Amino acid sequence: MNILELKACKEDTPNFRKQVSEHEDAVVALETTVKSLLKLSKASVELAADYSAKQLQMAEDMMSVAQAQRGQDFVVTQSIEAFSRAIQDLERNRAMMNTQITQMFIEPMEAFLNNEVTPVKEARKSFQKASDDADQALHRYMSKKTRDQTIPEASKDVADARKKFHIEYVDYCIKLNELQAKEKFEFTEHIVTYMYTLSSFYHRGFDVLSQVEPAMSTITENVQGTRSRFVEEKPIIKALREETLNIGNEVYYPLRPFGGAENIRSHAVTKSGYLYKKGPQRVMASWSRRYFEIEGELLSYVTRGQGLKPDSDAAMVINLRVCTVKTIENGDRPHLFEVISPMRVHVLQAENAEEMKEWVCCLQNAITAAHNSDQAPEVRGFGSAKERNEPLFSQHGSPNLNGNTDEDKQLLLQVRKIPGNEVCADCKSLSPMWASVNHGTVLCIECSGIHRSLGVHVSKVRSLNLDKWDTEAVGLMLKLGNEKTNRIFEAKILNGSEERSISANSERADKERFIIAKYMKKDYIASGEDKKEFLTTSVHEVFWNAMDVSDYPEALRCLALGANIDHRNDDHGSTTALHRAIIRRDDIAVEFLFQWYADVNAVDGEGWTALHHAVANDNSKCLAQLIRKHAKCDVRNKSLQTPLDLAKALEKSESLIVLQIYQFELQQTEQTRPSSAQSGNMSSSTIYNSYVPSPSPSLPGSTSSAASFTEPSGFGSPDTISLASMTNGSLPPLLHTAASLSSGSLPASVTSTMATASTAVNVVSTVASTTIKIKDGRPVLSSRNSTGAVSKAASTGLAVPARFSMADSRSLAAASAVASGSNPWAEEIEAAKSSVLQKAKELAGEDGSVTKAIEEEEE
Amino acid sequence: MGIPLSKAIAKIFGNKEMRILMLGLDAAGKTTILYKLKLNQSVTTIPTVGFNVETVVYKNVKFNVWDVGGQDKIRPLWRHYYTGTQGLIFVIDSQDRDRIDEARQELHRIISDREMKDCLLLVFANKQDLPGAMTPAEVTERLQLHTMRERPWYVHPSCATTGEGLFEGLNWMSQNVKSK
Repeated sequence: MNILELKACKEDTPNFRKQVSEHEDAVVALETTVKSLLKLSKASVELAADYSAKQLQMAEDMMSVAQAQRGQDFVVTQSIEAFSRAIQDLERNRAMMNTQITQMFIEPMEAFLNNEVTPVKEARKSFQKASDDADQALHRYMSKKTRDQTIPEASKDVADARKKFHIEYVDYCIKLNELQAKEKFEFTEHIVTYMYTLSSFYHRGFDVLSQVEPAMSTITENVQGTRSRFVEEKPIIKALREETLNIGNEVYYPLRPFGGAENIRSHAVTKSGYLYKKGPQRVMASWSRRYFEIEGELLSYVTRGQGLKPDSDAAMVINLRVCTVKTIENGDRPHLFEVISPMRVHVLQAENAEEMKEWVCCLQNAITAAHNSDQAPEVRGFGSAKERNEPLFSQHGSPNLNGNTDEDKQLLLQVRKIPGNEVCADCKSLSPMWASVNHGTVLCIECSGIHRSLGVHVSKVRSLNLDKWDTEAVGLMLKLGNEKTNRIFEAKILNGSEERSISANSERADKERFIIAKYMKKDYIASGEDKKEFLTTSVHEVFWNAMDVSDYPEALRCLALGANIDHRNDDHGSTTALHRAIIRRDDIAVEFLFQWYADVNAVDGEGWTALHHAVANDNSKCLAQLIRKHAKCDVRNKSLQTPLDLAKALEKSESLIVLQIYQFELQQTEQTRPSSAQSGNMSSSTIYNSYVPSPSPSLPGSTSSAASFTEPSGFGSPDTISLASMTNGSLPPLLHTAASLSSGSLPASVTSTMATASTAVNVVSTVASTTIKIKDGRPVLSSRNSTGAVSKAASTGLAVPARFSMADSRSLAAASAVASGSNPWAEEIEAAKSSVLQKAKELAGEDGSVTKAIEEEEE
Repeated sequence: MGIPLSKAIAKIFGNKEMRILMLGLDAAGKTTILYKLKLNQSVTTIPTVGFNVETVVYKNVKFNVWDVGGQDKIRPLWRHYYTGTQGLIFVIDSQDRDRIDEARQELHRIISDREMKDCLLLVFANKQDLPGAMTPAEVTERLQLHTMRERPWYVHPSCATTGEGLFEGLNWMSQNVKSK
């Protein structure tokens, strides 16, 4: 379109008008275009915002997919996260673009429309008016009559109008020209800006996406790998299906044929599976199916679909430490077994015998494992403890479970590594966990049971992991060991002159015979050359010398051959091995000697006891050991010093304190004794202290019971007498005795024998004042009766009631024997008397004056 | 109607049921006592790791006897057995003088528990057949039973292998139990 010639305005030719009109059309078209552009660009921006929001949601979802995959495939997780972040980046850029479009395109376009286009349109109106005015003025002038006076006036009007029109026309044309020019640069400029904005957005987008390209290619490879694996696995899964379903039809039968003991996992400690559990009702109990699982020391059970979350309900957890498991024979259903805890008995049913045996085995193993474990027990599953809301081991309060320090535990581990200790010292079973402390050997549980049955004077049994160990005892175990000890007790087997009669699989009875032969009869100890050996030096001296160099195997051999543990060596100030061990501060030797019952109160040539020596050494550890053995602390040496005096004289402060505490405690115990006598003042129906071995109809009878005590001492002759005599006539003689005693009609000789010792006097008076209550056909001595004895005992200042209470049973027995007349009474009374005296001496042993008094009385 | 039928019947016919807890140091003879009572046989035992429980019927009384192992490490578990115990049988190895003090400490610890405040105490001075066994009187003194005022107690000599003294102890238990 051409630029409008301003000069042409003057002519205002139709052609020019047409040109102007064309320009006007162009303005309208421009306005329409601009408006449409504005509308479309605004809509685009809005759509882009919507799109952006959706994209961001996608990014978020991808992120959560990545999070869900976390821990499974690191690469995938990381890549998807990167993708998500890229999309977020992209959308941030898009938001920026939108702002730019608004600011750099929409707003300027609007301004262009308002500032440029609209004014042109307004100018057109005033141009049109001026044109119309000029036309009308001319029209009026031209239509005047020739003679009209107003022609000049009209002419002037025309001129004015024309002038105005001309001005408007020119201005209008300028405006149109301007707009056309501006359209060419301003409008186009905005369009270009728009294109730049787009271009820079897509450039940045490209950059962002090319950064995640490597991740994309990795994932693509990954995906391909996974896909091919999936394809590869298909046949495997098919095979697995076949395999799974091919286990044999018999498993579907609960009553499948029993496959033999070897099919049972008898050593397993874990097991899980469904069992039927009997409800707690006693009558018409319901059975429910539960999934049981042994896990460590806990047995938990849940219903199907509940999931294994034993924490949720404490009632469903049972701690196996306080459980025992038993099979139920002759139950109302087959394959029953029970898990018994202190709180409840759980009756359980397995599908078949095999399952039941396996459950019982596994439970037993788990229980044993729980007890043997070094770990602190689980808090859960005890039931009662929870209700009581107390810490589990408050009472036994040891933080370390079995009371052994770590150091001692290490030592115990070493004990198990000593040569020969890998098998039981007696039957050679593997991994023995028990020990005979005095022999320094380790044993299997079965042999330990036999050892225990022999009594502590033969063997002292401890568990390597269930018992507390003193450091000294462990030390002793380390000094001896199976090999060294068996060289003594199995010497004849080792030199081939005897045969070893048992092995790990031997019957219990055989093992018992062997162990008795080995340790009690000492059948396998080499004694052939001993006679020669001990010609010059006695076995006691050999023992003493061995102890003095801490040669425990040799010392043990001598003890087995009958060495006197309290042998006093006259070459060394008549000291015993114990004194020497204390002097050289050998705690293990002291332990060894006490294990074999060395006399704690033995004195040496200077009258020193072990306690004196310990004081002189200021060895408080040893002092404590002696005190535990109730060492007498009032023995005076030849300088008339008690250990306490010695401690003061030698200024051994530590020993002094220990001894003072010990003496104080002794006094305290002494003081509690009289008060104990007053227990008799309490209602006799609530306090019983009658220890009379009352005759019982259920006992097999005097002869057999007496015969059962093969040892001459021990349960003791007086008791044997009592059983023998009392079972003859049961109650009547007893009553008769009581009556005859109280009436004083006892034969004079009996009375006199009884009265020889003042203790015996008290005994008699006790018996005399005894009211024998008949309760369910049994004589019961009420506690009140001992009061009399006690008061009398107190008056003679002799002994404590407990001693007499025992004595009265003895003398009562003797008396009853007299009364029944069925025995040579004099002999028995004599026996009773000596036993009473012996007992009194033994019990009063701690009190020298009492012993003395008794001895005097005896004379 | 909180009483189960069988208990109600037991009440009518005079059967008593007693929950007995048998404790003591290791190797005191608890398991031997339990099976002597149950089977009237001298069974050979091995150390009890865990516990044994048996029902012994004697003179119309049903004794549920719980025999819990006595090794050091098992002793802390004893208290889980206290609840509902009507009688405590504390078994002493009368021959083991070295450990009588330890036995005393354990005994006093047990009976000072509030769950055990109403239970009877029967002490078996066991292993009377062995040489040098402490007499029941000596056991009584060493256990300081005289300091026990609020509780019926009874010391009885026994020999688990022959069974001597065991039923006398149960008899005392059954006669002194408070009927519930």
